Amino acid sequence: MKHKFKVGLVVSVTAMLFLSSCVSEQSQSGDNKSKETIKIGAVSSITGPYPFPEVPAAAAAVFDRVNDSGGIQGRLIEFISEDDGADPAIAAQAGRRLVDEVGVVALSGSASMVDCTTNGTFYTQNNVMSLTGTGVEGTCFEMPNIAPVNNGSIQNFASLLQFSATDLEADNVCAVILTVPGLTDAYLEVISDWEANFNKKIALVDTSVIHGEDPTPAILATKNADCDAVIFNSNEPVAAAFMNAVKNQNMLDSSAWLTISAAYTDSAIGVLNKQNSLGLYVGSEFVPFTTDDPALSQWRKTLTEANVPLTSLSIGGYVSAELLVDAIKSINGPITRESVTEALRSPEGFNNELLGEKFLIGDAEAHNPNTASMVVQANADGWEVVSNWIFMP
Amino acid sequence: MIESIIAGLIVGSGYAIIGVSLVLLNRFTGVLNFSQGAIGAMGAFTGYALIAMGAPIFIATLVGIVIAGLLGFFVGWVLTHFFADSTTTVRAVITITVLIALLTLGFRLFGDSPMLMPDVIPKTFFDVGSVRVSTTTVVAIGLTAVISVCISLFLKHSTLGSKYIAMSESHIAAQLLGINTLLLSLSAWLFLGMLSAIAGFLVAPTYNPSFASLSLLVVPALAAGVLGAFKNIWVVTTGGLLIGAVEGAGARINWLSEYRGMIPFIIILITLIWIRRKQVWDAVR
Repeated sequence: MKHKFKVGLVVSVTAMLFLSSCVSEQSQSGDNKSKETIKIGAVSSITGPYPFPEVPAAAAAVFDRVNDSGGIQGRLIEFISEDDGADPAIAAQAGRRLVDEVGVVALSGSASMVDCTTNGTFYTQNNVMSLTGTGVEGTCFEMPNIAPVNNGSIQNFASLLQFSATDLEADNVCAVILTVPGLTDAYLEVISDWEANFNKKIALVDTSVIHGEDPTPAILATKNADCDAVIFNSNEPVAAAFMNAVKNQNMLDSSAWLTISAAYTDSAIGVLNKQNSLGLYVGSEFVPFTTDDPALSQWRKTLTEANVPLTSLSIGGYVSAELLVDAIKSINGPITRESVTEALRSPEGFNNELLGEKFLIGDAEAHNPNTASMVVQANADGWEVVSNWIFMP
Repeated sequence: MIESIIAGLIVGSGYAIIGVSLVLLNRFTGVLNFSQGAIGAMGAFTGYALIAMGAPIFIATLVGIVIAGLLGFFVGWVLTHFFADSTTTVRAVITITVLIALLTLGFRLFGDSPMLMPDVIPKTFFDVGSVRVSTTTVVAIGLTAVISVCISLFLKHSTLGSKYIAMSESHIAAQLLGINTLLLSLSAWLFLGMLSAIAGFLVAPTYNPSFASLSLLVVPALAAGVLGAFKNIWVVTTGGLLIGAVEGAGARINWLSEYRGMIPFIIILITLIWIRRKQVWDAVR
C-alpha cells in the first residue's frame, strides 16, 4: 500500500512538473510576440535515404534574418519545418498539420522526395502556395500551387543539350538516360521537345542502364555512335562513378561529358580530381555558388552565420524564402493565406539576384518558373564557370 | 562487342568468387547465404571509406577484408548458435533478413556521397588488336582461377581439407570422428566473408557500384552456383565468368540491352528445368 502511494506521488509530481513546464513555455513565447506571427511551413526529407536538411535550414536562416530586422508589418515570421523522412504517410500528416492546424500562409524551402506527389492536390484544394526550395519529383513541376525555384533535373538536362549544341558546337549530341522509375519518359519527352524547338537531331539516346548500376555499356555505346557530347542524368555519387567508368574506357577526351546540377558540389569535385576524371560539365540552376559573384555575398553571410552548408541546394532554400518574403512585403493589407497566394501569383513576378530570370508564377496550371541555368566545368582548380545564362523556352 | 565482353568479365570474376563462397559455405554449413554479397560489400565500402579518410590503400583494403571476415563470422555464429536445429529454409530466410539489414545499414553509411574507388592493383592498359584491355581484367580473371585452384588443392590434399569434406557429407558423422565442426564452420564463415570482400575490391573500381548493387552481385553468383549444381566449384567459376561475359555482350545487342539484367535469372531457370527434366519425364512415363 505504502509502495503504491509512493508510485502515485512520483507520477503526479512528474505530471505537475511537466504541465508547469508546458505552461511556462507557452507564456514565455507569448511574451516575446506582441502580434500574431506569420506562419510559414515546409515539408522536407530531412532524414531518409536522400536527405536535404540544408534546404529548409537555409530558408530558416532567411526568416531569422528578417525577424532580426523587425519582421514584416511588425509581425515576426514563425517557420515550422517538418521532416517527412521520405515517407508519403508522414508527409501527408505533416502537410495537413501545417495547413489545417497551424494555418500556414504559405510553404517555403521544402525539399522532399515525396511532398509534391503526396500533398500537391491538397495544397491546391486549400489554395496555399508552396515555393519549393528543391523540386525533386516530377510532380513538383506539374501542380497549380507548387512553384519550385530550381530548374529540376529534366529542365536542366534540356539546358545541357542546348549548351552542347551551341556553346560546345557538338555535331553529334548524345543522351544517356540512366533509368529511374517514373522519370525516363519525362527525359525522352524533353529530348523530343528540344529536337522540335531547335530543329536538331540527337545522335543517340541510350536507356539501357539503370541509375546506380555499372554505366560502362552505355559509355561504350556512345563510342560507337561517335558522340561529340554526352549528356547523362545522375545524382552526386553516380556522377563520380560514371566519370570513373569513362576514364577506365580511356574516353575522357573522345567527347564532352555533361551532367545535371546534382553533381555540382564540393565533394564531387574532390572525388573527380582524385580519380583523375576532370573535365565534366555540370549545370548550375542558380548563380554558381563556388564563384565570388557579388550576388552571393549576402547568401554566404546569412548561411555562414546560421551554420548552414554553402551548397547549390541551400541556394534553393534561400531563394525560395527571399521570394516569399518579397511577396509578403508587397501586400497592402492583412497578411492571410489568400493575400499571400495572390501576391505570389502577381503577373509582375519577382526578381532575385541569384536567379537568371524573373520568377513569374502567374495563374498557370503547372510551374517551372526558373529555366535559366549556367554551366560549370570540373578543373584542377575547382569548378570553373564556362557559360553565360542559358534560357530555355 | 569484344570490349563489352571484356568489361563483363571483370564483373563476372566477382560473380565467380562470390559464387564459390556461396557454394562452399552451403556445402560446409548447410546455409544458403543470401547476404554473402552484402558482407563483402560492407568490407569493400569500409575500405573505401578509410581511403577517403586518408588511410593508405593497402591498409584500408586489409581492414576491409578483415571486417567482412568478422561480419561473416558473426552471422555464422548467430546461425550455428541459435538456429543449428532449424530447417534449411529458416536459415536461408534469416540470411535474407541479414541482407536487408545490411542493405539499410550500407545505405545509411555510404549511400549519399560520391565514393573514390581506387584500384587496389595498379592499373595499366594494353591493346589486343583494336581492343583496350586493362591489367585489372587480367588480374581479376587470374585471381579467380588462382582462388579456385587453391581451394580445390586444399580440399583434396590437406588433412584440414578432408575434415571439411567429411563435414560437408555429414555433420554428425564428422562429429563422431572427433572433428570440431563448430570451429570448422565458423572458420569457413570467416574465410569466405574475407573472400567476398576481395571480390568487392576487385570489381568495384570497374563496376562503379552503389552499396546495393555490389551487395546484389549475389544474384548472378547464385546463378553461377546453380550452374555448378552447388557442388563443382570449377563449373561455378567458369559459370560466373560466362554470365558476366554474356551480360556484357547483351549490353550491345539493342533489343536485349534493356533486359540484360534478366540474363542470370533465365540461366537459373533453364538450368533448373534441365536438371529436373528427367524426373518429370520419368513421372510422365
